[in-house]
Amino acid sequence: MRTILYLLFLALASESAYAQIIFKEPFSQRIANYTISVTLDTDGKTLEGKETLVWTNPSNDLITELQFHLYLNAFKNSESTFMKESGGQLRGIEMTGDGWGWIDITSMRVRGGEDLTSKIEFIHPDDDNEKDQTVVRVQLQKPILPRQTITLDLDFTAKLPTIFARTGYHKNFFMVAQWFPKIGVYEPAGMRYVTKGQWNCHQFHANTEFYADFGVYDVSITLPQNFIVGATGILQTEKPNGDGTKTLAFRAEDVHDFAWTAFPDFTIVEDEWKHVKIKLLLSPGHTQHADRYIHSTKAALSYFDSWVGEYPYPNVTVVDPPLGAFGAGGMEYPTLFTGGSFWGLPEGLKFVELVTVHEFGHQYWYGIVANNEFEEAWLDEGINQYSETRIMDETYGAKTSVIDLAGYKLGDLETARTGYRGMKNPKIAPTFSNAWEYGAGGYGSITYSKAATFLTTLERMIGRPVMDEIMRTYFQRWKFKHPSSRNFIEVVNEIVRKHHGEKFGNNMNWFFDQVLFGTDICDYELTSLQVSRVRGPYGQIEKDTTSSKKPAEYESRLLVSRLGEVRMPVDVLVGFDDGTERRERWDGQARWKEFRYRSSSKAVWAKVDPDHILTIDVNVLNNSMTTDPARLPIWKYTLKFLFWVQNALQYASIF
Amino acid sequence: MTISQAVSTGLRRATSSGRMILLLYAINVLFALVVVLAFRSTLLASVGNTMAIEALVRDFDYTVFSDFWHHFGDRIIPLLTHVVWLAMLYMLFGVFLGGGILATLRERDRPCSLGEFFRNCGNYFARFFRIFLFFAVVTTLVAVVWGLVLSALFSSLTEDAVTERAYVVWGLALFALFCVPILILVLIADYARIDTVVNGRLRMRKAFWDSTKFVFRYLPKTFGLQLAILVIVGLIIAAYWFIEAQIGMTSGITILIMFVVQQATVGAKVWTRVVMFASELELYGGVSKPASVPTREPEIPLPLLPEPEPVSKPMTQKKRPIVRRQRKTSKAQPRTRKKRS
Repeated sequence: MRTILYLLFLALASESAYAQIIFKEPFSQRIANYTISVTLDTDGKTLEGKETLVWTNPSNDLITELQFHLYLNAFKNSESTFMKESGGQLRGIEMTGDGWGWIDITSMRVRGGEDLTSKIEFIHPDDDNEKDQTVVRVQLQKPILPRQTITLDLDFTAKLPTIFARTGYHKNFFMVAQWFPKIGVYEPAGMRYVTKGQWNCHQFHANTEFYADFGVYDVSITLPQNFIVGATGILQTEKPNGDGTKTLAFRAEDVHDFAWTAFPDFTIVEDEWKHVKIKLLLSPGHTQHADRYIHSTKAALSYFDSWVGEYPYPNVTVVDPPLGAFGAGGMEYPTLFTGGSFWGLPEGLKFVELVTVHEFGHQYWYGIVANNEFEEAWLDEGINQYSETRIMDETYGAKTSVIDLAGYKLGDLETARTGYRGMKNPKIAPTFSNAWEYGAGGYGSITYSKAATFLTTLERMIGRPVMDEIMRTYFQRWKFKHPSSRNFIEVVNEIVRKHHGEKFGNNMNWFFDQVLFGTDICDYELTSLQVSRVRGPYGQIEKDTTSSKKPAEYESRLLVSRLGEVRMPVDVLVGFDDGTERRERWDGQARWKEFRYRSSSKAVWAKVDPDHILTIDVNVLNNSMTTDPARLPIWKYTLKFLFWVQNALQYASIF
Repeated sequence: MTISQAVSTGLRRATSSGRMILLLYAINVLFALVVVLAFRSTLLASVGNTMAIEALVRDFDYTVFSDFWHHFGDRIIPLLTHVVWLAMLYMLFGVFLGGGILATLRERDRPCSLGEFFRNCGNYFARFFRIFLFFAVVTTLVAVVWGLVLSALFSSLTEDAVTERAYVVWGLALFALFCVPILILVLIADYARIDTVVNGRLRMRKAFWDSTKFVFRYLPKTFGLQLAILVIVGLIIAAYWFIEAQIGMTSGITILIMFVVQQATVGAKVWTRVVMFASELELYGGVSKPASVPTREPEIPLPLLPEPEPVSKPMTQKKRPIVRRQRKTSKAQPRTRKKRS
């Protein structure tokens, strides 16, 4: 009897825990809400799932069809758009063996209504690849009325791929992401650039990430008992099933995706920052990096909290993938992200910190401010990269935040700038592009690096306090929504005007027209610095016997050129041999500008953009000039090179 | 003859060969300058009058460095290719110098003139070049085959690895294992040269074979000696890095100091190479003497030596009659060659 009562109590307790509400008031519209129960077959690497989707029509339209993402079908065969575009690799990690993955909807039914299973058809809205099966649509017999809610019951089976592109398995490590049939986003007229309500449900491409509506996820996962699980949201219950398996129930509110990981060999490290519980799941051999993960997570939490706003969720889970599963690393999901480390990684190589700060940043730029990553990837990747450079450089040193080892130093902003400036063709595509339409290698360099670099230029141009207000306003205004580039620019224009009036013109559109919508490069050059002695009056001139001898007068001429097409206002600083300096402002519009000075002192050096405001300037070497160039650096590197060559010769003569 | 005896005698001999070490160092500098001067001119032409590079004195500045590389890297890369060619040329020149070094060291306390040094280089070059070619081929083959074996072993050992540690540990262990036969081949090549100089070998196959037998017969000593020298080299490199970390190259004075330290390091490595030859020579003479008491004449005359100095040491005097006798019997040389052909 006692046992029965205990079990009854346990069941009640479990039920009440399962129903535990996280937020008193919803943060988002909660358009797409999922209840999923899934079983992981750890031997067969398959998922069996039952999904209930409660979806609300957010528009005033009658909706006659639904569209779903079936992301796992990107790994179904070599004919998917993803595989064709990626060549079976992502971020340098190749797909191994025959680790194909796929998902199949075995049943779809409107609750209390029609069976939609037979109506499922694959569509390919982005290209003409008829073999791509990453998007499906179903026609509804009965349209969904404006603001009406529909409940669908789906059954699905999925096979996980081997991990090379974020999701899948490696041995007994599982990173289960983009794993369930996921409804697309219906964009009503007026939202982003839409003039007429339509589905936004793109195929899965090599360079695209995701876009989904916010909602509530109740997910229960059944798997072998020895597995340790981390997931989006909060663990509500964990109960053994008596057959060697257990079921864990998670709930996440106001998120737009749900991912989870399972691995028997995780080491769990728990910590706390203010109201946020940090759970770190470390893979074997990586426990030495626990402090680095925790410290950088806290640094990011603290920075974002004081910079743009409070982290609204009560927890965050950090997953450290094991050896062989690096393809799962460096990826963001709501309240969960994957990092990356390896045994023996020296402290001077701050890759653990870099990835952690970056992926945590996505909790804000993607997780909370949920832009369309297919069409405007720069809004999360670029803004997040900009955030990362600020956090990394301020936490670990501006010149040492990425590498500080054996005399070699590299800061995070430097990395971002080099990522853009080092491109073979920096004009390959505008930053504002569909993610799948960048040229080879352009996606990462443009959406991450160029965007971070031009945002830094903007910050230095308008001042950090103004930039901070922009970021705060943008976050507060667009959290739990789907902003567009236009929305970001509107915030910039509003805040810049508020603080600077007309200093930069009516608005900052000229800036974004060049760096966001354009492809031109920025390059200002200090072309020449010439000094000549001014001759006195000459010709038939009466000798002035009253005045004493005048000191020598010099004319210094300075030529500044605009080599690129991007036009930015720029300062020029000139130094004279008597120690004085003159600062000039040039609007940077013309092709060149000459500055002339007549005085008793000679100009000995000059710098264009002396305060390094134009981080997007692609060449810092031509920004300055001196009449007395320093030769010490040349000696330093000549002697280093001499030593290096001498050693190379000695090693060559070992025989 | 113990390793320490060989090393200490080698050290004494090398130290008394200061002029030769200076010469070898100067040759190293001259070779390096061929490309370094071009490098300096390229740097000067590329950076012009910019002030940006001033940041590179105080510290490493990635922005300046990467912009430089992006805009002028195309000018630097050919110079790096030239370093490779130069290293190959230097390797051949090292083969040429080998005869001079060994012959000079063999003369123990008798000072050796520059002309004599280069005459010895010339005398032995053809034979040393054959040794070099042979060992280059053998080393390449061994490196490929042994490398394949070890990489297969590495794959098998790390197949079930769950952490990167296994890769690192096995990688280092197998790399060390990979180096063993290469180091032994270097040893054999060294002793083949020594054998050639000491016994006046003409037939290199015999020199290869005898040196191989010698190295393996006295493996603990020959390999131990090599490891001891490698330890000395390691200490020199470690000392350099330590000093570099302490001083750096961040101002005019520290750049000058580090230049001196760098050149001292290069000089010390030249000296170590000479110590190695001298120690090997000593070890060869010390341990092989009883077994290799000449029962026959050397195959070819020893290098021609100048007339005895008035202050010649007894050991040199003892050898001189043999040299003269060899001169007389040098007619046997064509016969030997004919026989070989």
